[in-house]
Amino acid sequence: MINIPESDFYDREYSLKELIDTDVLDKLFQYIRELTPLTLYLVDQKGSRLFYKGNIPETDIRMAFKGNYESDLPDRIITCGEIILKVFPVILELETLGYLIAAYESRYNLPSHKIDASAGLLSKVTSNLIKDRYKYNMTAGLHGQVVEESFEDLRQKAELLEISQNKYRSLSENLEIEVKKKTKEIEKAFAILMHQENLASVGHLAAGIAHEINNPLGFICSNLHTLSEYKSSLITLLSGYRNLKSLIKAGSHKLKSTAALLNKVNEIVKLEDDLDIDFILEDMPKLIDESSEGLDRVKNIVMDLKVFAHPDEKDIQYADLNENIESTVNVLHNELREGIALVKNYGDIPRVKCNPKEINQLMMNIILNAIQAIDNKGKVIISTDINGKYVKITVKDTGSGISDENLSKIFNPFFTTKPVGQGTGLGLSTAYNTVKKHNGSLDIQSSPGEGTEVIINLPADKG
Amino acid sequence: MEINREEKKIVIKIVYYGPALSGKTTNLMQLHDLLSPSETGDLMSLDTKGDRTLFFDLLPMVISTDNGFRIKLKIFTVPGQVAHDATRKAVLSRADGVVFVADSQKDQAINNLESFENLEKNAARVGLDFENLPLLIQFNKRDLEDIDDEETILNKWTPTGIPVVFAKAIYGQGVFESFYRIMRDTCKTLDRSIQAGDNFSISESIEKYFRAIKK
Repeated sequence: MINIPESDFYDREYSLKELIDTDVLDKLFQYIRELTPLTLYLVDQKGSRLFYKGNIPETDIRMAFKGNYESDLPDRIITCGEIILKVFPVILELETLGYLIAAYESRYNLPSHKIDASAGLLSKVTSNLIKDRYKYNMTAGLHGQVVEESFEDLRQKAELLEISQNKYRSLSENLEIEVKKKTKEIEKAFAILMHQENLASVGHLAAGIAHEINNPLGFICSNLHTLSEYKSSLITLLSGYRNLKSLIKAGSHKLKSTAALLNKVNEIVKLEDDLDIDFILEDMPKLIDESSEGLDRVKNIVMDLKVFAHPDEKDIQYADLNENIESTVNVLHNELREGIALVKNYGDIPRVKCNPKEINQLMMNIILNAIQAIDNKGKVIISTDINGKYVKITVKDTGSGISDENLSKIFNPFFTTKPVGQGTGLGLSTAYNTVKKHNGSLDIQSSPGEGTEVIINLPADKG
Repeated sequence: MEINREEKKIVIKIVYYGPALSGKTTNLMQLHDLLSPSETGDLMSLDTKGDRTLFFDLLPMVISTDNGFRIKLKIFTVPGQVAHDATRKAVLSRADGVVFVADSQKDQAINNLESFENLEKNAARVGLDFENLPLLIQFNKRDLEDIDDEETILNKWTPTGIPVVFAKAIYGQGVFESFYRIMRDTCKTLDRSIQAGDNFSISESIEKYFRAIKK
């Protein structure tokens, strides 16, 4: 609340001095004097002069009026020698605030009706001036107070608003921090899931590769075992021959006759038959060739895996995508079931600046999806080509296709149509992120029952 | 209240409060007509806009006492319209007693209540002790139809301890009674704050005045 000094209360008592506008009175009096030569004198209740104008000296008027302050009787006439006073009490709200005195000298013999009219007019106008001034003072004072208090109210409201505004501002700032924090947490969790998805596909890959390697290893082992048995037979036969050779060298005393020698030879021939040496000689090179071939296959798988995983290469480099796709396809060889034909249309494409590991992972996800989309028989066509400033990779399958409803969701993380436990729903989401990271685009066109086409465009960078 | 010992003058302020168009100005006009012209001044109406009070109305009264003191009463009305709250608050400040003029019509009950709550709020804002503020409720417009009956009103207000007067201000009924009772209560309260040395009772002076009027 505003503390207003008591003297400024609009509803207080006002003195005559505060209510009389002497300039207006002066102007009025100038006109009156033209008509009637009066002297005008205005005093308040305590006798202080508020207005004086005219020919009669102030002291004479005061002398004549002396002792007449108390009375409230209107329109009194006081005669003091030559001087005559007409006295009008100035009344406001039933209270006499002062006196208006119109004085004149008897020697001029002024007509009384002129004096009455002029003095009466002065009194009436003064009274009205005071009333109007009183109204004005009250209204202006009240208005001032109202404006000041309204202003103060508004100021306080503005202050409160500012406080609440600051509160909301800091809230919103904190909210931003909170949102950033949560976003980071979600991003972190998402990165972990992506990593897990990658690990899952690597696991899938490892299982396939184990199978690929296990097959040749199986028959190489079996061949080695057979070869080991052949070795034993050959050693036995060789001992027989060595024995015969030493008998012949040592002299004939032990070989009494040609018949005895022949007998020994027959023994060896029998041994050859028993050991099935002819078969061994025929089978041994076959086994060795076959094992050698098996080892080559293992060697190739390991080499493809090496290309696929790039364990010893930098993250970003210029790569021939045809090579990357080829090694990926080879790694996926195990997934190609009977009835699925893989067609490769490799175009003459420039090298692409990329992270080959990520591109391989991307191609594996997409080719695997294509293979898995085919129920029994079908084709997977992989093409590469130049598309303006881009290298375009297309993977098309003749599988089941994707419904329109699902097509809008396939890039959403965790969206999958595969049975529970078989898909994380992150494959295409990861693929999309990889392509985006490489400033490329990934589009999918699909018609249910006819198949799906995945088109990847990666910027060709002539490095 | 203002006491000017030099001028032997006591100024008392009474405020007629209440919702818009409940008859506050009518009360003052009737009071002016009821009392003798030598004791009441002109009713000062400030800037009325149609029938509505824009700033305030003021009826001054002067009562002379035996010991030469003059008691000056300033009777104000507030503007009832909701929008003039700041003015209402300014008029209420320094009030010694309040007459709350309520509209008896049933459909005005909410306006009455809101205005009464506004009075309570503004009293607190201008530093008036509402609990001890001399207060009277005048249920006006008893001449209209569809009004709450007296029993209902008394049942509601008697427990508050605030005196209730029923009025038809437009016919002058209940106007003087309301004024008389608020003056009696106000003077009783004011007497407590008058110094013992003054050897003076406002209540007695006022009672004497009212007795004279009644004759």
